[in-house]
Amino acid sequence: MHIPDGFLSLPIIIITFAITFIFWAIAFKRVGGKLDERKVPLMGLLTALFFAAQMVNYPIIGGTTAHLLGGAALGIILGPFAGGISMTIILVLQAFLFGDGGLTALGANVLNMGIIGVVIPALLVLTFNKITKGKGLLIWVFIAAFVGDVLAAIFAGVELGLSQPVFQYGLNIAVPAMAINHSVIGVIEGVVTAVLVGSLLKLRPDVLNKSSILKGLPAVKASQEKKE
Amino acid sequence: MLNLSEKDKQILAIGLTAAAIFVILGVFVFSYSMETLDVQAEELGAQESSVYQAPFPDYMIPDFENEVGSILLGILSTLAIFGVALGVGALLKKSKFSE
Repeated sequence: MHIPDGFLSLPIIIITFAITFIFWAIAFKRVGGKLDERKVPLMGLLTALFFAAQMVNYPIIGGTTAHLLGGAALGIILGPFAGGISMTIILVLQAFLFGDGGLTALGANVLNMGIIGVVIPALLVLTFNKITKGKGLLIWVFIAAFVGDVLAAIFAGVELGLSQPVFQYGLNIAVPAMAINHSVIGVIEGVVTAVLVGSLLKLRPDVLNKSSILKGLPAVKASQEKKE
Repeated sequence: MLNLSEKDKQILAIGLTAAAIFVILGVFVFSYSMETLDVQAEELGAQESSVYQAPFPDYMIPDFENEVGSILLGILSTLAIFGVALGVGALLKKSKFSE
């Protein structure tokens, strides 16, 4: 889903960078000075883990391939702002070191994968949790990760579709193509995210007690009380 | 620098090992990449027009383009990203960005 240089029009480049800069300003303000000591190594680990996971290109439909994004897991475990910063680190280094995603498209790539793909799943799980009080959590995690992935792809399709004539396909072709293929990817993203969150809840719920999204869950609360 | 319990060190070791496995899988088994966007670009004949030459294009070391080089590069860059994220996290911990 990494958009390279040369596919986006100047107005789209400017708009996506503007949105991304606003997000970074808010995220640094929200996280700055408040990041818990125990969250720092977790942030380092998950950033490295999903960078490596993005190197695995598995086959999907029609001869195309895809890779995990990890945005939903970052957003749900680290919180939407720290998760967004974490995904930004991945995308910036991928662009500068490996040319994976263009520099002029960095604003768009961060908007799609680092904001939409991270914040939306985190907010969805937070909302579902409030409504259901933690019941069926992993189903909601799966749905949130699926929605985050597909929405990120739709945003990429919209940016490309609105970049005519630089990218010759309009919205009517770019958006459905991205959305359909990423529905398959979204299912895999959903399963992996649910397995990761489920495993942490079962084996190390204390790791999640600094997550603004999951800290209210009974298992996570219990691990905090036990620690105290 | 990191004040970690034994259990936290364990989770760190498991996570970094999993990352190394992803790198090896990515190089040996799942290296072929043809994403939806690549297909569309191919259909259109759209060409990338890079404004910057990355030092390791396509996750390979120039003039050392083989599996060993890619695994080495993948593992070193995973560790580098781990380091950068720890650094950013440490800066955010004591940052004065917030009011």
